[in-house]
Amino acid sequence: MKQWGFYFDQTRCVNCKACILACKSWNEDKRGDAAVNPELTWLTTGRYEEPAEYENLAGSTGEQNFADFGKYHMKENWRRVIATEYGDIPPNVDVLNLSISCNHCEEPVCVKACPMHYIYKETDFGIVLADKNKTCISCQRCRQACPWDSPQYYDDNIKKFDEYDSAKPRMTKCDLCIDRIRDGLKPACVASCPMRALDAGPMDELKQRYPDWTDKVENFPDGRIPSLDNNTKPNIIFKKKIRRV
Amino acid sequence: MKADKEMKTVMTLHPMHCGGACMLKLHMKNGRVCKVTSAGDIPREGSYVKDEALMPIQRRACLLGISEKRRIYAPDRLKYPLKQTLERGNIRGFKRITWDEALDTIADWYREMLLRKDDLGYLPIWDEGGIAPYLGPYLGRFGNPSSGNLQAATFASIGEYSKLRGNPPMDIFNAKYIVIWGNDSQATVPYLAFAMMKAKEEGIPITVVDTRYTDTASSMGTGYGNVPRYICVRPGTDSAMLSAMANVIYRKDLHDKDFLKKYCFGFYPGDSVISQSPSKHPVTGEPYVGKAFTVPKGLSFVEYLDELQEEHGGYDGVLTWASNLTGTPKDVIEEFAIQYATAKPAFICSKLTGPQRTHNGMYFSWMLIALSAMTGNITKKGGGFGEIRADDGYSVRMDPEPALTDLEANQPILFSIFNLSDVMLHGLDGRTSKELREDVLAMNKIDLGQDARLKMEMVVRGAVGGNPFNQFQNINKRTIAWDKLKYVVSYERFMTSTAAWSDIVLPTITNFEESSFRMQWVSDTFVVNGPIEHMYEAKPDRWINEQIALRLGLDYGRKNLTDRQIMEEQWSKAAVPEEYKEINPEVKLPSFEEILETANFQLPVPKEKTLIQTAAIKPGEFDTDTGRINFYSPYYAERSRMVLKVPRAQYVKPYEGYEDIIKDGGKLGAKGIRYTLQFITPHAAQRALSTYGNLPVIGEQRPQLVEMHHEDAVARDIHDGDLVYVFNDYGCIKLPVMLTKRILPGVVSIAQGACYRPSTTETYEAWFDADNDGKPEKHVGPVDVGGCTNTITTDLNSGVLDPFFCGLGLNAGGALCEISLQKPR
Ligand code: SF4
Ligand code: SF4
Ligand code: SF4
Ligand code: SF4
Repeated sequence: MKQWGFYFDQTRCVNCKACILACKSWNEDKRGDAAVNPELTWLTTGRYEEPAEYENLAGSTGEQNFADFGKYHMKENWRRVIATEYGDIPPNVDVLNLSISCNHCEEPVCVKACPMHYIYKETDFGIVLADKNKTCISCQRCRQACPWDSPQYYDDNIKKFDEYDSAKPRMTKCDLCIDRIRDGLKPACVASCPMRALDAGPMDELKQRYPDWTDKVENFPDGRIPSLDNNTKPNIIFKKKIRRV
Repeated sequence: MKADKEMKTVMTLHPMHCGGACMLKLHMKNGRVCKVTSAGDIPREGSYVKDEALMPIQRRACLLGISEKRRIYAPDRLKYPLKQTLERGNIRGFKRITWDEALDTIADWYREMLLRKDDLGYLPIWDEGGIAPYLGPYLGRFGNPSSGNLQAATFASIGEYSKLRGNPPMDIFNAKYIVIWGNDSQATVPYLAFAMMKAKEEGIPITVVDTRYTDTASSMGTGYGNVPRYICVRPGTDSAMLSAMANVIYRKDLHDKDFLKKYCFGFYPGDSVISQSPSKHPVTGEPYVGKAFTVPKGLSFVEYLDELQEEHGGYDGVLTWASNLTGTPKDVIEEFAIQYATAKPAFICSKLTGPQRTHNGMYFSWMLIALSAMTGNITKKGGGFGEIRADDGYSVRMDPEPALTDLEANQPILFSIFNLSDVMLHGLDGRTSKELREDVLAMNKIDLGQDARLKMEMVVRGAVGGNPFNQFQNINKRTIAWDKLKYVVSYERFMTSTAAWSDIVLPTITNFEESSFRMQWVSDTFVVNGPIEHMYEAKPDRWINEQIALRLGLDYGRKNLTDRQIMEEQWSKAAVPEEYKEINPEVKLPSFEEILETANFQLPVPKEKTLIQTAAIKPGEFDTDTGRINFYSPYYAERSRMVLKVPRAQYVKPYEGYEDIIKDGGKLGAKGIRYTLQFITPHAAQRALSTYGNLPVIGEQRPQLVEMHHEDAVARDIHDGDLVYVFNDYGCIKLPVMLTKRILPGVVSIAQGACYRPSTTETYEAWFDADNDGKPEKHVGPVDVGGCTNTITTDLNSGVLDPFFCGLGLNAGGALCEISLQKPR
């Protein structure tokens, strides 16, 4: 097995968020509420549920009903872009961006944390996957264990769902677009980035292609750092942007 | 898990009015778009070189293109004709009607307007994409919100912008120094942002000038010598900075005297010239060649610089003045001027940007041209006049689509779009009735008589006609003015504000439901491959017009030709232009089947061979009145239609802005409140103008908010995420606030393009002049909870109010407002 992972060029990222939307566009049918969302049935049956008539979609106050329309897209953010501001007043400011999904860690603490063995590390690419044949009880231990919020739920307010509610949000996460890489394609987020700031592939290959890689960048406002010395050993390398204030 | 093998892919242009030109790869199954990727979605093996290439470049899409599936299949797409049964703007009042009922009604309205034409001499219809042009003279807009002020500047100084569009993107690689002025291309033009990034990585120094610390500023700025990577300028004061820079260049003797003598007019006092211009007077049609021009005393550019020194106390005083206005230290301005003048060549790239979309925006663009002329950069590779064009300059020659009719379109009577509400209310657009009468007589041969005024009684807006209810200034005045209209018809895909304020709304198809060739600003040939069937009852615009025309007995329509037949015919005669064969003799046009499959054919130009249009023009033969590059415009002086009265490149104070804050700590409005904050309304990545504002998948990632510096927030007891009121005399918006370090204290930013949504519970007392007595009066209307910037913008023209060429621009930034946590009275 060759372990796959990501490369992220922090000097190129402009926080445009195309990668997030590309992930949602490609992986929409893998979302946690797929089963309870009639709009997705056309993917399997070829029949598109035409939503209600226009009048019914206007909310009771006459405003367009954002919440109602919102049920048609994938809510989980398998990829996230975090912008952190430094400095005080322009021009004495700088911004560092970080686009991050799951790092398909060498030592995935999410796997250890899960009481249901719902998460495992597959053996072809070393991708950390959710096992759809098992049961997730939405306990969020994986989310709490992961240093970077990679396990996602379509609704974070899990408490509001009844224990046996079929709509109760189950964990979903980045699968490194395993369907695409098996087909010889790049992950959707990588293929979309207008600035070519993202790459994915076998880690040794990435390190060769980007010889000035580093394993650490500043990013999360609260100081979390994805770095190889982290106890999870994340598979992500960077080109670091030097902060100027 | 394996990818779905039944999925077929279709490449297509993402045909959007955003400024980009991107490719989408649609993954289709059962006639539906299942997933969307873009031009970068090629097999991984060996893709690295192609991914990084600029020639040809992968035209990768932004977040909007990638999310198109959500727009095509959005639940709120309009699906059948709707008729308003309650008051305009109330979307609960819309009821479904049949196409026949809708078309018959609209045909009746046209007939009624034809009777009005007998009285008025023209149809009182403002038509944007309907069939009025074939029925008689009608009303049409002039003024261009994206580029009007830039167009005013180029028309004065180098010729029509439609002919001279700046140096091409590849030409930045020929520059020694790149200045990105007010341009956040990552938000609107992804391919340009990537090219700039490549230039930076090649080691070309870059300085970014912007009011906000945009991601372009953050990722592209490197600095050059002692010039910092980022210069922050207060809104509306960019041209003051440029004036001070011009003074530095002149006093330090860094200007290109030969170039100024050979190419320019109006720089030196008493300059005179016998014109060798190829162009004609826009109004009289008289050729300029042979006419003598002299710059009047006091109005040359050097005299302006002298005036500045006199007024502000010499060389240092001018720097102090510009520093106080812009907020940039004196030594930075001085160093910036020196480095710009000595880099040779230096490329300033502004692209229809924010500083241009202000009340004095024309002078910003003109000052960029002035600086480029002083340094001789204007005709150089790696230089240019301050604007970067979108394309490389060579395109496949192809016939247009066959015309829909042999009927001749009538010349519209033009009115200023920025005074739309006044035209509806009083028939005047900022011109006096005497000027209006003269213009219409000269252009349309129609005499509007004594006390000339325009009558607008019906509005027809095709899907190409934008969202005018929302996208022009002063919404509260517009809701009053709109009431005067008898009939409003919209062709639309979604319930935009303009659709909501219409009487009949007709559903139209998306660009994924029909096919055609497109150029889309860049020089590539693109195919819009529309692989899905027309959805619901939605129709193409042309079908709607055809049906109305049929009812009115006009011969109009496509005559059963399919998209494919038309495209095949076009492609059979397509050819690569001869000039391009000199750049690449190997070039071969793809076959029809090939172009349909790739949907994109590029004619890239290497940096050594970039097209520099200005370099091809002989000195003295520019398309201006004098034939020279003008620092002073005799045509503008003669016509006297400039909104800010000054026919010369220089700084001109806008109607309101930072100077009011320096002087009185803000401006006391008619309402009696002092407004102390400047606002700007930039284009945002989350919308292409107002399109996509309705998609929650985008809104979740990029919500509509007001950006504000922490310092301003503390002073107002505001916290991140609070719902705040942003208000001035014109109206009040309620929206969440985001605190940031990216913006200067004293300036707030709201992205333009969100749709106006009147609150059903909260009202606001606004003060503006709707009765045309020159004095503002009180108007109580709803608070806007949609976050539409035009709730607080003023319907003042900027640029040049002259319909004989396009030079009328939008004033959308730099004006004043106030923000509070509590609802203002
Ligand atoms: S698409 Fe690329 S540039 Fe845009 S946010 Fe993602 S990583 Fe950054
Ligand atoms: S990034 Fe988080 S979710 Fe992904 S493998 Fe590592 S610990 Fe698990
Ligand atoms: S939320 Fe689901 S996947 Fe995560 S730890 Fe709990 S059971 Fe396992
Ligand atoms: S690799 Fe695939 S699943 Fe993971 S973030 Fe990127 S697009 Fe999403």
